[in-house]
Amino acid sequence: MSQLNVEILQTAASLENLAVRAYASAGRLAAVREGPAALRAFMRRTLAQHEAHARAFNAQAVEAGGKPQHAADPRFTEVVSAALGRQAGIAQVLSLAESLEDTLVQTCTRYASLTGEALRPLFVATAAVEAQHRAYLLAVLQFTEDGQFWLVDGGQALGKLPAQIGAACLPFTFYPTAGARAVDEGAVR
Amino acid sequence: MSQGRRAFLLGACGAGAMLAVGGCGGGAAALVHERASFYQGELRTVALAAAMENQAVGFYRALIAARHAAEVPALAQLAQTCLHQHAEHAATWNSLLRSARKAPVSGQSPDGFSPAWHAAVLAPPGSASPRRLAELAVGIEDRAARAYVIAAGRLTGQTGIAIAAGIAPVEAMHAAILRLMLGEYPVPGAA
Repeated sequence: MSQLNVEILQTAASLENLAVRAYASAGRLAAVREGPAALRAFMRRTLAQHEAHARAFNAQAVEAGGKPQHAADPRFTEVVSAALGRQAGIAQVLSLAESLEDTLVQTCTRYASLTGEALRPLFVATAAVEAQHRAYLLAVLQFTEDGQFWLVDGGQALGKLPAQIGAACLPFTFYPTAGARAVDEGAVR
Repeated sequence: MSQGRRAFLLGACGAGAMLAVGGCGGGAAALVHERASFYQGELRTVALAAAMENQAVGFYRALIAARHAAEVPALAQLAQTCLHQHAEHAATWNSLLRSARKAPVSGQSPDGFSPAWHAAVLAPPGSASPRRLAELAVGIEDRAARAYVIAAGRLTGQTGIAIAAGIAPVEAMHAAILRLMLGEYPVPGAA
């Protein structure tokens, strides 16, 4: 495989590592620990899914003759640490997580077009999973903004959700890629 | 056979054969084969994607018209959003067919070879519960997202690859919100 494949796999892994770090930090915050059980469960499972994605990208990077990337994306590490300070509220946590998921979707969607048929399904499948994380986070943000945070914990029965939830959580007909990260941003130096 | 008739057969059955969205009788198989041969190679995948999107459009139209759908405004409005987005996806795939001087895949028709969901939504007429409608929608969206993961690996043209890669996350988001509505975990599996 090409050097380009190694770089995009390492950058994708670095973004997954960043997400793992962010969800781990968020899980220690009082706003999350004292928040709805459903949200805590989502964060635990999402962290595990990002770990699995990082392992998958790193396995392919090694297969392609490169080194695995175990560090987080260097451009966002400080931003994430600062945003998840001890005093971070639930809306701040949700916004950061939603933004990270969006970056991952855009990056994986873009990288799918840069690689060959063997790696493309991995990038598209990962983008789909991260998009689902983002959809859920957008819904919870909507509940928060509407003053209906209680909906997060078991209130998602069909008749209780706000009517505008679909439009609020499905902003794109085609997922954009303008926010994709540079291919070598997370490459192993 | 008219162009519209043949296009319907591909829409109702061709995509079903690949994506398991619908069910077709044995008599349809020959017609599907005939129609599939009209689209060769890359364009066959494009045509199947257009047909799959047409099926989703047809499903959401049926959902919105179903008797109990309006009882849940969130579901009815979500269906409108999904319908619009699937229609845009179908139009995009069909534009690729047109640019290759091939007939677009159009239409959903209740006659002949209705997809399996059609009976579930409309028989007895429009009586499916909102929960059942949402469950059917999850199935359609999940299959669409998975189909685009496969299609992205099979396509070779950059335009088609970019479209498939850009649609897969959108279908996955549809499924996530529908699961949220059903009280289910929104992201059941990793990649």
